[in-house]
Amino acid sequence: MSDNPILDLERELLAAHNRLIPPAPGVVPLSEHASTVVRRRGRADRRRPTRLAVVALIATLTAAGIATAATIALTGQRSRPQSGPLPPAFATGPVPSNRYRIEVAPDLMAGEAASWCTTFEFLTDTRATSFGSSGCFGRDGPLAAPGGASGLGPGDHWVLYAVLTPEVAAVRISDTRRLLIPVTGHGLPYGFKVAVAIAIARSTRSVASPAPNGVRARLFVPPTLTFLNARLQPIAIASHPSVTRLPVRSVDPYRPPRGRCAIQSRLLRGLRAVRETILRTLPPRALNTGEPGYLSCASVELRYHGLPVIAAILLDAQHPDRRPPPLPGTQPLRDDPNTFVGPGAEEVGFMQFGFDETAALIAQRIGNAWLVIQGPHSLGERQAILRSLQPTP
Amino acid sequence: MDALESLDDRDLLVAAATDAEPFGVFYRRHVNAVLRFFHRALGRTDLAFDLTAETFASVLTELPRFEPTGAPATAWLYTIARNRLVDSVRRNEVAVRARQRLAMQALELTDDGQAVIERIVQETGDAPALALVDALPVEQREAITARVIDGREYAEIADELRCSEQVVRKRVSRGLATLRRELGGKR
Repeated sequence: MSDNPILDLERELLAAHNRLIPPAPGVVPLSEHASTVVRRRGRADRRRPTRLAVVALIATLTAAGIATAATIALTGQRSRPQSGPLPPAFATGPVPSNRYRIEVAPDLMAGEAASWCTTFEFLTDTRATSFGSSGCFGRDGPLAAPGGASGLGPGDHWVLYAVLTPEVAAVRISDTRRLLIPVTGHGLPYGFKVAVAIAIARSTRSVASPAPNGVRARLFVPPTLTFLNARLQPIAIASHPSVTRLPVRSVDPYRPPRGRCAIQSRLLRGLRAVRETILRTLPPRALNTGEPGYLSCASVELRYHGLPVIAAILLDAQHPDRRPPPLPGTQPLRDDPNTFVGPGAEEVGFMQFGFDETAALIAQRIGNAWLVIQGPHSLGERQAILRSLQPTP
Repeated sequence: MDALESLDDRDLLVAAATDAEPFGVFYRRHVNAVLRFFHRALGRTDLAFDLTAETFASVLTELPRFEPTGAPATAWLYTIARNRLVDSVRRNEVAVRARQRLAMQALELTDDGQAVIERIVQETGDAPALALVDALPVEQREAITARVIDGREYAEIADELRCSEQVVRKRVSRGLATLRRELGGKR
């Protein structure tokens, strides 16, 4: 051992890496001058322009005198559903999976109105692996909530997906001439649709090898999605104002103010309230959010045996004094029809890193509001947490 | 500049799934900040080093599950670091599970080694705050960097990010709120 523990630790980690992750057969590591795979997703990548190709396609269609609406019907391929099987190639990835699922749920953070969160999950028969939140957003142009690309298969296989507003009639996938027709799905609110495709990355980018001889490596990048309206014209992302966010303040979760929209945490073994935020002022009678949805007037971040849990009170965003609509994708419990359960979606900055944990919801109607808990998959645990939280009178 | 050094954190972690060297670059890039993060929380160099070792061992064991999302890779790293910190405080001991799983040799700090760690943690500056900015979701980080650090106009930022000014304002607001919470929580 040297006198520099930082270097010693690095040596130990690199040795452990070699024991843990030997190079896959047929794959030469980047540092040995060959290809590796870069799995990317995110808004920046999705926004890489493919407009020239789209414009060329439109020009071709126009010159041929073909009605664009009919063209979509004739040439478009229906999207894969919100959840479904994966090709066999995905069974051999780092996290073997045979199915996928996209979850959409209301944003629970206090102050957020008409905001939605999405999560992409790779599934096996016994396990769900969340690949993180794509974010919680209001309507940004055609995106009801941002999606992206997730690669898990060997090498260059990708799942491309997006949750879309109804104005998107088709989605163009770069690297191909495919047009994808979005489809509705279970638990997708307000006419939202999904576009899901399995694609093989053909694009690569070159990165110089770190080796002295300077051989360059090829990194795969996933295809991108371009959103088109019924006339096959690209729709700009974020062309509309995003969600309304109302000012909030922090309160003591164990002693929240009475007479306000707030949640009182009570003692439950293993449960600890971290923080609570509530609206500074009660919501106006009508909130112009531009889109229907929910308004979170109070949210509590909790830890249940170390795992993140979030609780919130949701109102109807556009009519806070009215009974809010059913929560998308939820079903009443057979023995307790006033309590609903369903999928959750991870909250940005709080629940997005539960690698083996995918959040689930439990909700109860409390007057003209929903008391919602997003947390453990165990129904019994969620019920116990629900019972331990009390909206303040 | 070394080609691997020029890769961003997300690409490094993706490449590290099959190759040790990108992991080494990622480690060297962040180890000092992670050490300072733990030292700031606990005030002890030995515990800070121990938790740093366990954190990077956890990064290694979690590598197959890393997926580059919109959030920066440092958010992933600091989430693991925070979880290790919380676990340790709760159990009153530093976990060794990841290092045991990797069959890593236990590293004992010598006096000289302790001095090295102390020099690192005493390096002051904006690293922790910048690390927190790095840990923000990418949209908020872009907005905070452009508006707060670079002092640019909302309209200009909105144009560059291809969104409305209102969206930029919202991202800045959310990012600052997160930073306030994070900084407040660590004091």
